[in-house]
Amino acid sequence: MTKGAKILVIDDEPSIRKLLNISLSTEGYTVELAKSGKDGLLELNNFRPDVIILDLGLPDISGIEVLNKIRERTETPIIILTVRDSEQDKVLLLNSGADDYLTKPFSPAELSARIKVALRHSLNLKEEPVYINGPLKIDFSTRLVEISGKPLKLTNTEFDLLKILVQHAGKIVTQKQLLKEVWGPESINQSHYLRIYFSQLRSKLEKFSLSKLIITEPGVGYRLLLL
Amino acid sequence: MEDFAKRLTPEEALKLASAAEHKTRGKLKIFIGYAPGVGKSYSMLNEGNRRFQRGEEIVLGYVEIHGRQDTEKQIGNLEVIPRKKIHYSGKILEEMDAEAIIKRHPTTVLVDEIAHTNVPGSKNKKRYEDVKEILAAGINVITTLNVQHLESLNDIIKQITGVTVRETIPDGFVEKADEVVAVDITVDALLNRLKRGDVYKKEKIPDALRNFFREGNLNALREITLRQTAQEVDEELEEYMKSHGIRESWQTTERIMVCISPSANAKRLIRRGALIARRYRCEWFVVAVESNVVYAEKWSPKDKEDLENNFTLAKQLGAATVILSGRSISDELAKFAKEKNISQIVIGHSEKSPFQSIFTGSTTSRLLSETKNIAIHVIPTGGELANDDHWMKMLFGSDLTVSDFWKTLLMILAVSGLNYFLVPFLGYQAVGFIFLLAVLVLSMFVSFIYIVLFAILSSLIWNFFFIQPIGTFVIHNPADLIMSIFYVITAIVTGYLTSKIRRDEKLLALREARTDTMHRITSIIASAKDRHTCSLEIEREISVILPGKCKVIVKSEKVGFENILRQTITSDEKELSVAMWSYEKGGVAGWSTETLSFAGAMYLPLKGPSENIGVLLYRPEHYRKLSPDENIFLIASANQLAIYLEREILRERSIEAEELKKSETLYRTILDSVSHEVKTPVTSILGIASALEDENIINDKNKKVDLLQELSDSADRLNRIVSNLLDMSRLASDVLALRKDWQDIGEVINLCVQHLGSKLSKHNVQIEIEEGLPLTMLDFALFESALSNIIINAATYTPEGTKLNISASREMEQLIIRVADAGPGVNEEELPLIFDKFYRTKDAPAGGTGLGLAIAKAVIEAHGGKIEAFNRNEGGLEIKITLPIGQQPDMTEIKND
Repeated sequence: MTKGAKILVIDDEPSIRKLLNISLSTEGYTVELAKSGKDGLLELNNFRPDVIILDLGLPDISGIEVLNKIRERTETPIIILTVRDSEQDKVLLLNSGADDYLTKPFSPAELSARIKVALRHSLNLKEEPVYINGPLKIDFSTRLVEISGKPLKLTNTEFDLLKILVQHAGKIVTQKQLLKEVWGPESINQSHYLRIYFSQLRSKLEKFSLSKLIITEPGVGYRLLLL
Repeated sequence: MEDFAKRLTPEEALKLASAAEHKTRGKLKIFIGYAPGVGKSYSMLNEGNRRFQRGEEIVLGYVEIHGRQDTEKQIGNLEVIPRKKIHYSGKILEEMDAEAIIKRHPTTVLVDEIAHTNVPGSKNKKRYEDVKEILAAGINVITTLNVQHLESLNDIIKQITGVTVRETIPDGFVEKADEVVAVDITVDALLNRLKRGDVYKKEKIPDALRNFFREGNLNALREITLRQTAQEVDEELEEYMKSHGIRESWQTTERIMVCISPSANAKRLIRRGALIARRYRCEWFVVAVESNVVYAEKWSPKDKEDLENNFTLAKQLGAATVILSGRSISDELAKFAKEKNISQIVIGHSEKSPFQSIFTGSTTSRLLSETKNIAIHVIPTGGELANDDHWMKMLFGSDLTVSDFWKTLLMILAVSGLNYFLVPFLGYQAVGFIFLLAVLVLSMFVSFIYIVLFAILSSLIWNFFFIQPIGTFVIHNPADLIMSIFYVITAIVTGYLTSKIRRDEKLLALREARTDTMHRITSIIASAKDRHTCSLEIEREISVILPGKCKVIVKSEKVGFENILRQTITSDEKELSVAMWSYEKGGVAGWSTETLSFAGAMYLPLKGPSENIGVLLYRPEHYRKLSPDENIFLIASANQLAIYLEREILRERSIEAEELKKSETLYRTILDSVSHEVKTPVTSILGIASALEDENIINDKNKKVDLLQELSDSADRLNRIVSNLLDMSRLASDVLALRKDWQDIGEVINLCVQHLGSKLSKHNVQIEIEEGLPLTMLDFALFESALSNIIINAATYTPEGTKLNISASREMEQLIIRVADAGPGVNEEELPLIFDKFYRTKDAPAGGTGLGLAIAKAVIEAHGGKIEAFNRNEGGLEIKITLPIGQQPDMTEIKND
């Protein structure tokens, strides 16, 4: 149940705060606003949010610092708000513990979707041995994938990649994360591996018209689409 | 803390130069007197006391009282450094203790009678050497000196007083003194003092009066002393003027030329020249001529060293020094004299043997005849000028042409032998001709002297061995005699002419080489591509003719000229200041010039017709004064170069101005365009916001939906404009850091289309990606931007419902992406223009900035690709992007499972 969940918004722009307040409360969330990093950290203790929305362009403390400070105390999911052209910051924060991101300008619908995903994962729903997402069905124990009942043959690597996306279903998984988990830490710069494998994976999915299942976020990573 | 940015003026540079030497050197003050008893020691002690009372740390190193009470009283309270006791021949003698003085290390020390010779067994032979050490230790010295102790005045004083003074001091020492004070009293006053017994003891007075202290003597000595002191003062003034680079307009039209040879005796001539020049306050030259005639003696290294010393003295005294070279010494001197409008010549009186003079006369006499309007001072010197006519000397032992001697001898023997065999066939007259032929041949190889030798010897051989009566030097037949004589004449003349040709050829070759280089320099400049290579080539050409280092330094708009000098040449402050002087004042300076000649190189200003361009540096391999020819060559080269450089710089400037104008225009266009473009959606947004306040509209669902859609679209459009502007600025900035990463082009295209979403809803979009396309290095964000702009363009300018084809394929080593529409296409004339910034086709619908395709082009080209537009055969426009396929990444880890 995500209704009534507590969301902490940390953003120095009054207009953004207002907008988020209105749209999120309309959805039924309880919203707390903070206008600086310091305030945000204070509210962290008082408010105990379920999801934190963190703007990167804060005046007093840098985004990465706030992130680190938050992560010192809690594993609460963090969604960061970024602007275009700040790829490096985005990736850095995602690799440092942020869960997801949104690029301004964003639509409240997108934000809502992200929040839902974040809440889902934070509520630590038990890892089912079988994952179902629309027509997609994955049995982790047998390593069998089916789409609408028909089997989908995947190589081991392709399966591993898909598995990670599924484990973070709906959430962004950075390139570094993927490369590290599948190929090991020494391969974290070989982004071309991902291109090739996801290209293959997509073409296989396309036969079922499901290539849209895998969303590429260029420069950042990949994400599984929740159907 | 030294301020490195401060530039030295030439005075400071000069001071630095000498300060570097005198860094810790003490100051030397000399009291000069013309005779004993004028009051030198007295004055010295007096000054010592005064300074002591003023608080200076001053001690008495040595004073000779001579039993004069007044002097003794002057010692006063001064601390006396005890004398050193030296044992010599069983006696204990006393000398000044220099070590003790240095150890005591006062600020100043008084040392009497600096010309004194120390007792044997002392460390230094002369007291002035002790004083040198004391000065070197940083202690100031005040000392006394009699005028007859000066080396250069020695002979004059000998002539006047009849006394040869043995204790002399080299002039250089006195010249380096910081202060020279003449202690002077009238001769009458001195004589009175003597008679009173204040100078010598009573017993000695009559003797003194009779010998040294004769009135005539004393007067002469006094005059010499005063004049000497005045000279020192004058020299300081000269130094000052020279170091300011000031050439005062000469007050008279007098010009002095001193002709010297390498010999040390030339110093006398130089001094005389200095004297005369001082008197007339005019310009003066010291000239040495190196004879390059065939038989002349060339200067040895020792000669050159002596010459340098002479020149150093000359320069110190304010002369301009010149080395000339030519065939005849007197000719060259005469030529120089005429060129420079010399009014007086100082030359040495050569002491040649009468024998030599009979044959050739002297340079001096020849010069006299060649320069009718010029006053000539002939100064007796010990040595002689190099003469044109050294051939007598040459015959008897010269080091140069020993091999020539043997060649000649060989030739004589060989040809004589030949003649011996030929005589029966040819007759004795023919012998002459054969010898003559031999002369011709020989003159190609040996110097003229040996030709003469050969001529004479062969004539004698001919006479003795071949002309009747054989075996004697007698010639019976008068015809034979005449023949013989004329043979010698002909041989000598032939030999002379041939050698002359040889030598002239060499000279010509040299001149030609120089002209050639001038020519080459001109053609380098004419065909120069850019000023940098041109400068390098010219530097090289100049170093061919004048061995050494040559460098062209040009000013720059951004960096100060001094900093450029610092970076390119040296950080030596002296050199920098000379170079800066040349650059700013536009005059030649440095070594071999008359300005700031202490520099290590020669600096010629590069002065264009309207501005100073820079400086040409020339540092010779060997320091020898440049001949007028060489000077002219350098100056001409510098001038040519300067003209060219100025032209280039002006051209570059005008191009820059053009660019600036262009970018200003662009900037203005952007502002205009952007403000218009941004205003449109903003107006829309504001309008809608205000409309939504209206009750009627809020309640009308359809209207509301419409307006909200419009609001969304306008905001979108605004967003797009901002994105484009950001892209533009990224592209325009010099630091375009493409963030490239391996991308799958198919993925890129799909994502791009996906992101465009609803904007493409009114068209039929087809995507065709070839299988197995390789990965490409792309900056995803920029590339997506480029592609989006192209696709949106296609969507905007084509009717609804038409097809939009986007394809990616591979053609050999290139990746081809095509965006094809089925719209009206573009006019052929406008096709190449659509990628220009802000270009909008004539029938374009409102709402674009014209930036889209320009951005696309810039992005593609930044990736090393190409973008083109064609009108399709089947109608519509096709945009074709070509990207190079780079080396593929390492695929070894790709598991093939």
